[in-house]
Amino acid sequence: MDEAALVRDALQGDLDAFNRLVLAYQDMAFNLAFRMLGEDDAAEDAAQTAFISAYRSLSSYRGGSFKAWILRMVTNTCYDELRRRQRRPTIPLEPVSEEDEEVESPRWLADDGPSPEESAERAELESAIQHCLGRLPDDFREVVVLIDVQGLDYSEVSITTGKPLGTIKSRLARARLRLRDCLQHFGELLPQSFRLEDEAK
Amino acid sequence: MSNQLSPKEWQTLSAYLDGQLSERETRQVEARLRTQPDLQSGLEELRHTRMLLRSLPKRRAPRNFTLTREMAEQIRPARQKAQPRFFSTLRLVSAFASFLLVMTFLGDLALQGTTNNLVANQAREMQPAMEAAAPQAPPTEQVFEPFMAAPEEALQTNRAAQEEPTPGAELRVFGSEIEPTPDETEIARRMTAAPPGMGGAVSEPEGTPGVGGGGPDVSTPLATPAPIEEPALATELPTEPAEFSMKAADTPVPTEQPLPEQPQADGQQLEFATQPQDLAADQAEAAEAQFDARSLFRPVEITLAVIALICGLAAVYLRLKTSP
Repeated sequence: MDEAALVRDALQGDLDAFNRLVLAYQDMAFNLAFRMLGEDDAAEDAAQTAFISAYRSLSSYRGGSFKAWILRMVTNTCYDELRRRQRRPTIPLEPVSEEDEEVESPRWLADDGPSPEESAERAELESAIQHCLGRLPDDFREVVVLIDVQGLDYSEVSITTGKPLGTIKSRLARARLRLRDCLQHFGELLPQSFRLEDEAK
Repeated sequence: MSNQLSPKEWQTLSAYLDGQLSERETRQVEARLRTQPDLQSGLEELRHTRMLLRSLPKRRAPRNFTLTREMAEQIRPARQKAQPRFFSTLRLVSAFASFLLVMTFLGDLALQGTTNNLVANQAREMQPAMEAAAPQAPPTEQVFEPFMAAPEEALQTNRAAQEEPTPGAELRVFGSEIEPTPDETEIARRMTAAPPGMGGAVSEPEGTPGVGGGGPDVSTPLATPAPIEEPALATELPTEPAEFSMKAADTPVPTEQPLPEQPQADGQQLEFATQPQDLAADQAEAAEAQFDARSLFRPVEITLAVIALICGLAAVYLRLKTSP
């Protein structure tokens, strides 16, 4: 796929060229939106909205990594959705006790985690990780998802987020540290090596 | 867990894990890892955390997010209407007209300042001229009266002026300090261009060390076109006392050096009598010309302002009308 040629054709109004770019990046966009929002439906809407926004503002693309540019559209759409959620809070996923305190139990996730497509253990682990991702601040989550989940390098994330490399490094380290602390509560779901080290300590 | 590590150390370990450290930093971290178990266990924790995140399954899009023709048509008109054909032209014309308006306004202001200065100079120059024209004005009487009187009287008066500094001489000294205008220079030149024998050292009998004849004239650098000849003249008078030479050099007297290349006729005295009026007339004409030029700025400014306003408002109207 000649990405530059497709972008050039899309800029001239070639819808087919733009749709080929969409097909190339839609999985990545949806995956990023899902890890940011934690819901399939919201991620689907965010990905679609992001591609519409990309088509509308294609003239603002100034070259460079088109992947980083399109992922920036996705993260911006996710931020809009997260802000909308903050304005209109919904029922929390975590159950609350009678004292209105959040009950954070790995068993709760393990018992109710749906795993229709993969094995139950694998789905539970994914749910646990997603749960910990959801507890991160938005800007930390954005960086760790882009680097550790999506596999982007630091410079691409710097372009996508519009933040300098030092900020990316700092946010990534702090996000990993928080995830490590959070995942310790799901010791039974973690791989054997992770648990053994934890028990050794 | 390695909770003893500082945030900076965690950040260094995280960057080391991804290979984002420089070669020197990498060597430093590896040296510390060999000796510090906490650092090593912290690195392993970060490595496992990253491994877990990387193990997350890649979710595939549940459907295609390609845009249909209908969706594109809904988006494209908005994008095209946002930049109509005339929008950029109107915006450019408005900006250009605004720029020209600013430049014209600045030019108008500059011209206005020049005119004010001209009027002020004219008033300042007219004042001594009027005072000279008045017969009862004693300070300027000694300067202008010789030109109206007979040559003998002028010679006497000029000698008297040479013996003691006159107010006119003081005026010349002041004028030489403030860089006289060309008109002032012309007045001074004509004043110094007296008839032969009016005070030039050359016409002095028996080579009397005249005040302005021997020493260099430091008071009239602009009124004398050939100042190089004056020191030479001073050196031609070896009998001149050194004390007097110093005095001559220190005493500014304006009316001692005739200008040989501009011989004066008697009629020029009368011409000079009317010089202030002519000067005033010339300056009035110049001011009037500048005023006429300024009057041309007004319609230009108004036209440019109207163009800038209309084009700018039209551009804003188009943008508001076509924005999605």
